[in-house]
Amino acid sequence: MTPSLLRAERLTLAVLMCGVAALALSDFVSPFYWLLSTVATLFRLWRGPSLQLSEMQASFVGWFGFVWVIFELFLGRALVVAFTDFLLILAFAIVVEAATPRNHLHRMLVGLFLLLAGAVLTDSVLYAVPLFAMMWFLWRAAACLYGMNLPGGDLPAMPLRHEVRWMFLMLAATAVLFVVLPRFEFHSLLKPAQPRMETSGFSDLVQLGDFARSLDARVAMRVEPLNLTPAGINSFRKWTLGRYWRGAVLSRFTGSGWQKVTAPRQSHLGAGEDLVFADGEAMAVALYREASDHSYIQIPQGILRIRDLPQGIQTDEAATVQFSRAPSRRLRLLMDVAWANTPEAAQGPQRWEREQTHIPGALRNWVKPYAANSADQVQVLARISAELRGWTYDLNAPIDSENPISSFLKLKRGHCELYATTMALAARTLGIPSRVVNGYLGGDWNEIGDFLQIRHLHAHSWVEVWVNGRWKRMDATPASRSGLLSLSFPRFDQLWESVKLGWYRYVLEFQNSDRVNVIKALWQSIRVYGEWLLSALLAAAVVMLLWRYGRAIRLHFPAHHGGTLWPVLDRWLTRRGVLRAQHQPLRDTAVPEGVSPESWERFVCKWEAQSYGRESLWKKHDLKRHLRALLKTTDTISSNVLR
Amino acid sequence: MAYDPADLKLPHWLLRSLDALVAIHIPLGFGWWVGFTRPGIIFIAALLGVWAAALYSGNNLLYLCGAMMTAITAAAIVQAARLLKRFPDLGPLLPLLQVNSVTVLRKYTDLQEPASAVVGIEWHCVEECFSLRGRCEGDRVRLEGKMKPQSRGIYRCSKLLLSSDAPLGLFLLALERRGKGEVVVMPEPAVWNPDGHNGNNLSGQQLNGGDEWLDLRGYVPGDSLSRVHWRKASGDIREWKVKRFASEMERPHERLLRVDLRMPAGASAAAFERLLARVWFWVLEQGSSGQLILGQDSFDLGNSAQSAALQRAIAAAHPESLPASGEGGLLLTVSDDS
Repeated sequence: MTPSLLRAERLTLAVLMCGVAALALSDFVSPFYWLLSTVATLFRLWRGPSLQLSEMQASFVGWFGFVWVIFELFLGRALVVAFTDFLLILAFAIVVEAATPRNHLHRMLVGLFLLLAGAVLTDSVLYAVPLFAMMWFLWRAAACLYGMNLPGGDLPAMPLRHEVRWMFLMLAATAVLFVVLPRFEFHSLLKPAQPRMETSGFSDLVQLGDFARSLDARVAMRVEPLNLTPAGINSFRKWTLGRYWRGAVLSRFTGSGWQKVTAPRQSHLGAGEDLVFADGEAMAVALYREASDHSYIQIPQGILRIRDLPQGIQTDEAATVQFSRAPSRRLRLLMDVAWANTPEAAQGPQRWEREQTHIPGALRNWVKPYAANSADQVQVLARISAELRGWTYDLNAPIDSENPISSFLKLKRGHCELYATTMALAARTLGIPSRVVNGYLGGDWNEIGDFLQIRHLHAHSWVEVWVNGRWKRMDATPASRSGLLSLSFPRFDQLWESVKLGWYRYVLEFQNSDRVNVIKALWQSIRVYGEWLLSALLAAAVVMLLWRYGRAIRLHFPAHHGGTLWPVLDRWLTRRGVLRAQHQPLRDTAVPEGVSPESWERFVCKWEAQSYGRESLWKKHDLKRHLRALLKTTDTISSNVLR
Repeated sequence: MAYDPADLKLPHWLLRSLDALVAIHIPLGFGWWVGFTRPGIIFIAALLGVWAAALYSGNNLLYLCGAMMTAITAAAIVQAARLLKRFPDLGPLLPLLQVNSVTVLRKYTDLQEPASAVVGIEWHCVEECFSLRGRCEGDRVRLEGKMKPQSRGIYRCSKLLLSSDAPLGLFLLALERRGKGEVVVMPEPAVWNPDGHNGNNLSGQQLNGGDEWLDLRGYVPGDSLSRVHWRKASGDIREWKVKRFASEMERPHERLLRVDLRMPAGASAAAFERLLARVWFWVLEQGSSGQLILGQDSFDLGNSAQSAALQRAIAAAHPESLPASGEGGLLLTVSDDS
């Protein structure tokens, strides 16, 4: 195999593997299938093209993949997963196929197609790696294939330094095109999708005990202020402290859990519309929501409005906000928030928020002593809340799943869901309408990216009770919960989350409106850092000029350089019995002792070549090396002659 | 090109359609044209598909893919444009040509910027068009091609058409540059001897006369191949030697040739060309000694500074109304002796 063929083989394999890597980032893809292609590629690179199947055999592998995927579909595999399986089996067949021109073309086309499929099936920040690697390898592979089989032989490859310069230009062009081109969102079918993240507690039917039982550190939402000045960030950070994010509202107690009762009246809003809760002085924030298996939008305390809804939503009388269907991709929600506004429920309590049918007897008995000495039920409820807050927060309390409330009352330990349930049922026992709200509380602050991260472990459950003609939030969970959840994450994790947020903000969610912001930010940066930028440009220009004309400048001042090397050479010549006059060129001096005339002639030629700029100038150690070589060569010749 | 959609065993009608698209060259203005190769059409179709999907969906990753492919396209076109724009002028590189003879060109020159490409060159002049190829290998370019002019003269380049599908083989970029330089086309030398015989009629036997050859001279196009000393010949035609025999050496060599460029009544243009063919043979045979008076102009063959002027004068010679200047020497006139 010629070097060009070997290069083409490696480069086209690299193009294909970039595509495989892009698709492998998708959560839809089974690791087995992408590992198949990867291992085959590594094996092929190791063993060379001797490991190959004929075109016919490879096409059989492809057809087998097709039949296999049909079989998988019959077994119930999701269509999108089966599709990615087929693509990767195809990639495997192409990897092991004989390296013909047709195979090279196959590799490049399939690699590109896999990259495009990856653009729809993943939104990972790591997608940038195969994308830009593809740019490099596609360029090199195409250039290599172009230069092959030409009359007069294959063309040599371009030097890497030259290609790298062009690669930077292409990267810059890619960035400019990405920013400048307009966005027209006609349809979201081809938006980057991902499997919805599994959560608990945000469905319309929740069993006691399946909510936040373990500390899941996966991030559910990232929230950042749009005002990125230090004052804006500080203000936002204060705002996030102890903030409740309201999600599912569950009103009917089933005895073993809670159920949402679908409100008879719901209002719908379409994509692009604004959802307004109240007016007032607002702080604009952006919430990046991961794709979850539930459709609830977490509404923070102090919400004023949600602007430019990315998908259609529905709201009900309990002031819950849901997407019409759970989105299968990450979404950005632009919110205006204030310090203290709470979304008001449109209506008073419903009959199912007063139901006492499934309240366990143990709880009624437990409430009785608190209610005995007071006629003010609200005070009683406050005392119950205080009592509960004195108990122990424990995610792994051995709760009896048959009688969870009785078990909880006996153990006096449990998680927030049990506290909220107990509180809500106690309120109903006292005749106060109540309901349980599932959402998030708090979050951790990312010091690097200056934004709030809300993880699954921040999921929380609390109660809303109807007091004095309005719904009032009561949280009976012990304060030890916040201590338990105040985990510190390593700096690397914070950095990685910042990178992800940057990817979502500047790449995935880049919109027409962001273009103006980018230009404004650039202009602002130029204004602020203009002097530094100018200095850097001038410095770069000077360095480039020196780089380009350095040799000429050095030749312009030969005395300095000659002054350093001539004495060394003269000393060496003196030791070898030659005394050179200062004006005497080296060519006119006698041949030093112990040096053959031929070697000396070659040395003089080299000396002149570097002196007159045909070759790079010698330094002191270069001269010494040449002088040593001169003696060595002469010695070798002498010894050969003696033999 | 090692990657061609034809390798994918596409249906014939599709390949024909691709070729129809390949034939389209879109003018860009200022002498530039752009076209596509077969893989280039596939690439552009893929690029359009990606952009359509990106614009339709608003998927920013598809935007990135489209931007990446567009950047590759733009870089390929810009690289090709820079290559064509900075491609060296051919004028100084073109050799002396001879009518009806194939001259194989194979010369190296430097490139301003390293490239790995093949450039198609069309050297247009009023009389003809020569198709050459520049093979760029790093920072130098090798000019290759065969040139076979049909008529004598000085060909001035009217336009230079450069085209290349480098560096990726996807887009064919062509540039029409203003022509520079010229190429001198000499007549085909006609062998003759000063005794009035046409050299073409002399057989080898007559010249050899059964003698040993006395010395060697350089080969001149038109010399009989039977007189070439093949044992001393190498692959390079410039090193060929022609045997000179005693009978030739005995003839007195006339060092002055006067050429009367007047056209006698009824003489044909072919006769004028034959005259110049003999003159050129004489010049080549003389080497560096002798004097030529061509019409009114005099040239000393020993003066190397005049040799280019002499070649141009012969190549551009046309009938005159005055007799050859000077006196003595050998006089050549137009004659219908074919």
